[in-house]
Amino acid sequence: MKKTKSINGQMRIIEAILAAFVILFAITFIYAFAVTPLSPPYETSELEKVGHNVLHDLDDQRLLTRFVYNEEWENLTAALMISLPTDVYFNLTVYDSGGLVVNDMSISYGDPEVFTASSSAASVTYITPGYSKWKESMAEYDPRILILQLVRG
Amino acid sequence: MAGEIYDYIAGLIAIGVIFVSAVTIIPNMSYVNVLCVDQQQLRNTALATLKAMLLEPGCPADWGTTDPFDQDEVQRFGLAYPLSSSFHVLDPNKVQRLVEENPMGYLEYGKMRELLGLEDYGFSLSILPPFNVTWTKNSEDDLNLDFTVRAVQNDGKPIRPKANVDATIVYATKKSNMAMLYFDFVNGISTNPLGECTITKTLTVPLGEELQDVLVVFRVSVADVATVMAAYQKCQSEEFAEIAEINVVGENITLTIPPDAQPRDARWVDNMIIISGSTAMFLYNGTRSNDDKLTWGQGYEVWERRFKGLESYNPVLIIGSIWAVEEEEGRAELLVMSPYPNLLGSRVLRYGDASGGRGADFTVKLQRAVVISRMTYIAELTLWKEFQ
Repeated sequence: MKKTKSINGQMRIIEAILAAFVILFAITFIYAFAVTPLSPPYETSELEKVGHNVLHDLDDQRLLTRFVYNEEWENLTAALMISLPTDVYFNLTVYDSGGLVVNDMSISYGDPEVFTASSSAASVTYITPGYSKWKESMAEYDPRILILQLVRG
Repeated sequence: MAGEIYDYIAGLIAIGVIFVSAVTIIPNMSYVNVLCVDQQQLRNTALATLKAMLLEPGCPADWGTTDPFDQDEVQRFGLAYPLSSSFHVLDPNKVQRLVEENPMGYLEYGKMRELLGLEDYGFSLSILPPFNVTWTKNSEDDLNLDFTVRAVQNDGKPIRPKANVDATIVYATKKSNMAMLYFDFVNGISTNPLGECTITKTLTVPLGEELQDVLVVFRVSVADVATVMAAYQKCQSEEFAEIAEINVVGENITLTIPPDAQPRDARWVDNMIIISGSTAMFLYNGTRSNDDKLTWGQGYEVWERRFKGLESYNPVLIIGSIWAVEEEEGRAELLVMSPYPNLLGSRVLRYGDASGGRGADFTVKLQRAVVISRMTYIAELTLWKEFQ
């Protein structure tokens, strides 16, 4: 009789320990799957801001339209390379108003696989309405749509 | 009975161990999440700070041009150029107030933290050229100039396909007491695949004239995005701080002599030249009269002129040719460049906490392309939390 009581006591302790482990495991499980703050969306929106800032800056200096309409793709690549942070890879595609790709050579920097592999690729759309060689004269309406993809390398 | 007690004691110890482990592990696990929240908050704060710095003109809107400058008059901080309708165009006068070496006054780090509400944070701000340019002098011969210019990306990689380098050479000669100023140019030199090129030039000095001083302004451009920097041929830039300091506030150019400058003979301002992003032009021709005299005492301590429309020329550098006494050399026509650090190609080398957040748990670094005096620079803000 005495021995049975002792075993019952031990079983209760083992049950309590097991219960404690279950609770501990549950909490660990919850934390492991908890959604941490939204870093990838932050990264994407930050890259979008950086991309738009650089395109706008080049446009403001009348360089972007000159490169696009004169098809100076090498210059455009170099300008983006020095203006964007060094750890940012980019891929720019220029379309005309009919949706046809205008750039006949790649305007990019970085390994193309990074764009497909990265979970936080940003995309910026920028439209240039037209280009006139002289700042004072009116440009003819001939829009180009620039799609700039950005990834942190 | 005794056995049961031992069982309960053993159980109690086991539960205690589990409890202590849980108390230790769980907060650590949640700390990771708390840290993530902290990081996210820091990023948001950094974004808001950078936005306030680069897109707001501050209050008063012309706080950079108040003369004399009193940082207590700045009610709200912002570097944007108030007359520009475009984004990220900065006021050069405000940017100059972030240079600690500016003798016309600068905005202290503590004051800026207070204005931006960043008392619990540390930060540093730099405004640098979009690519890195360095030069080395290969010849000590003042007549035969020979420089190697190296232009690379900010991460050290060569610039593809190339950078273009133009050099404007400004040199002064004298004939008895008359000083002459000349310009010479080397244009369209391209860098090689390593990002290097050589600039050589033999200066022409008319017969009877004696070469006094030479300086070279390099304009390096990649796809027409340019940076400007300058080099003294004869000496280091620090030596010329002894002759005079040139300061620009709005449309006023002010020359002063540092209090401990040697020798202490009078100087005369002969010429002022401005270098903008693409051109060099004469601004002022002196008369060697008392109007252009600069010396200690008697009301000649400061030379100040207002040049209407100066800001519209977007000056990056100001060069003064000054008739002054050079130590152990006698009177000579000397060239002085300003402001610092523009002659290095930068606008703000590092403002704020020089530690750059070393020792902080987490730092946020944000970059934006900005335009100052029609030239592109990269503004970089590093922010970290200082007090937990």
